[in-house]
Amino acid sequence: MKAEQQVHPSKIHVVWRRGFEHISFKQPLVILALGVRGGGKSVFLETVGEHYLANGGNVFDLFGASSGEGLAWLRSPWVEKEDLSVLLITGDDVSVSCSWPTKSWKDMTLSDLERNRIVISSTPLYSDKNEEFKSAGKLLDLLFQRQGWSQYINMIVRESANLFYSRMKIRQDMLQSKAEGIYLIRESRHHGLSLSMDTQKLTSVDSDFRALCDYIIIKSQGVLSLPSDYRWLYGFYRPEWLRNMKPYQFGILTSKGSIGAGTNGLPFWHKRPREHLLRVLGINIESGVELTNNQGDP
Amino acid sequence: MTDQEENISVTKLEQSEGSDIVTEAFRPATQDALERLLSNELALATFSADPLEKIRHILEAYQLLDEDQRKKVECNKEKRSQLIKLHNCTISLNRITELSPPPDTYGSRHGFIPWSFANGKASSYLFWITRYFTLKDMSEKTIEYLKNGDKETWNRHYKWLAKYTRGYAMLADLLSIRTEYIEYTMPLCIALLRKIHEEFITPETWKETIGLFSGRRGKRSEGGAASTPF
Repeated sequence: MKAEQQVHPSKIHVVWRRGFEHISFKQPLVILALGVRGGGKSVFLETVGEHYLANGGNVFDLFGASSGEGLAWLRSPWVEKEDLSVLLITGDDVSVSCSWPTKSWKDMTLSDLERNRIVISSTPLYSDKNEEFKSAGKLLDLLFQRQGWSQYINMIVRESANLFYSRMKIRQDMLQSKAEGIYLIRESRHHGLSLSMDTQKLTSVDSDFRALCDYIIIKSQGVLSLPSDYRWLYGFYRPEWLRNMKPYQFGILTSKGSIGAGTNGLPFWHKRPREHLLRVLGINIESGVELTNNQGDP
Repeated sequence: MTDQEENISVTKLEQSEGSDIVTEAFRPATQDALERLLSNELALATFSADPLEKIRHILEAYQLLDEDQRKKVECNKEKRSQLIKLHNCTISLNRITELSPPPDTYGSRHGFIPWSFANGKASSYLFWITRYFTLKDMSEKTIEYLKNGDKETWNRHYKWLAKYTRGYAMLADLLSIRTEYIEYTMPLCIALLRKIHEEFITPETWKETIGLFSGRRGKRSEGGAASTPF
């Protein structure tokens, strides 16, 4: 089957400055990308998703900006050329007409998440953010019912704090939801889940959360500097590079302590700035959230 | 290697020297380490209010340099040797210790300096002392020789001074010796600081170090050089 595969994931190249590790997406990794808006975090997460697809895994694009950037998967060669199965998750009262299968979050089953190679839960397909968080809470619970699996699911969470908000919608308790969020990350590998998350500020996510990451990907920091517990990295990286690196460049810190810098290919199908994805993809929605063009990474 | 793995490549730094990502992303390893150490010492000196601490950090920055690098900041061999001895004196003078007075001293304070050298070598370490102490049994002739800078007489005086100050000396005498040391050494060290700074520290590293020390990073506008090292 693999020999027949015509689509290849975007390339990733890493030069290790300290330590040396092989990177393989044949295991359930927890990856956190850190960087300013437009720094290339989403693109990196999509590249990781491509690698999981190439290795026979699934992609579950859970959260995105209001612009619905996760929908860009629909025009990727993984869907158009490789013809991988796709499912769009929608709000309960939202009517979506498009050329891809859709399903209300309330009707979703674990089997839906496992059978479809690319599953997208995107903000514009819900009636409001509140419903999206409730949906995410339910879908996460479904995934954590997985006891045996044949392929990994790479879950993309484009603003990692959303993961905790989604637990809050279910638990209504800050401490319990945080504990559950941490639990999700810690236990994800035992349910065949790989997590790819991003955040603009490393301090937006708890240190317990950061400690569970296999890879922390550092994208352009802009005017923000690294938080104090990562400031020692300035001893390895040029500060001006961390501030102004290009969207295809990244720094990498691993749980084993290796430090490197690398480049990742930019998937051409990634959502472009000011692009109205719903129009481009021919998706019509009734009573979904109003689409904004100026939010989310370009 | 499968097709998928061909799209991921990892290399060691040595195998990628000179590549764009290495040049852009990483600081040079060895050269940079010395520069940062020097910058750190000089920043500590700059921010130190205690003159002896300031001198110590500058002389320690000097000692971080190898022989060839030391020649760049001080071409005179004898002076290079003196700088090491001055550092020894700095350590000793930083540790002036007060002793409990015996009952018959009526409150006068005493102490000692834990010199690191033997009394016999005092002349090569205490060369910076130019004010002599007049003793009760000191002859007029000796005082005259000291005034005229007679080397033999001064060597004996240095030996006596070392013995006196490492024993049970008046605290006031010890502090006057320390003050004289600072007066002598500070101008040398300030010149040394400037030379090390010019020769070995890039403005970028200096700005970064000062920024870290001052803790102003992020609180001032982008225009403030020292406040925005990154």
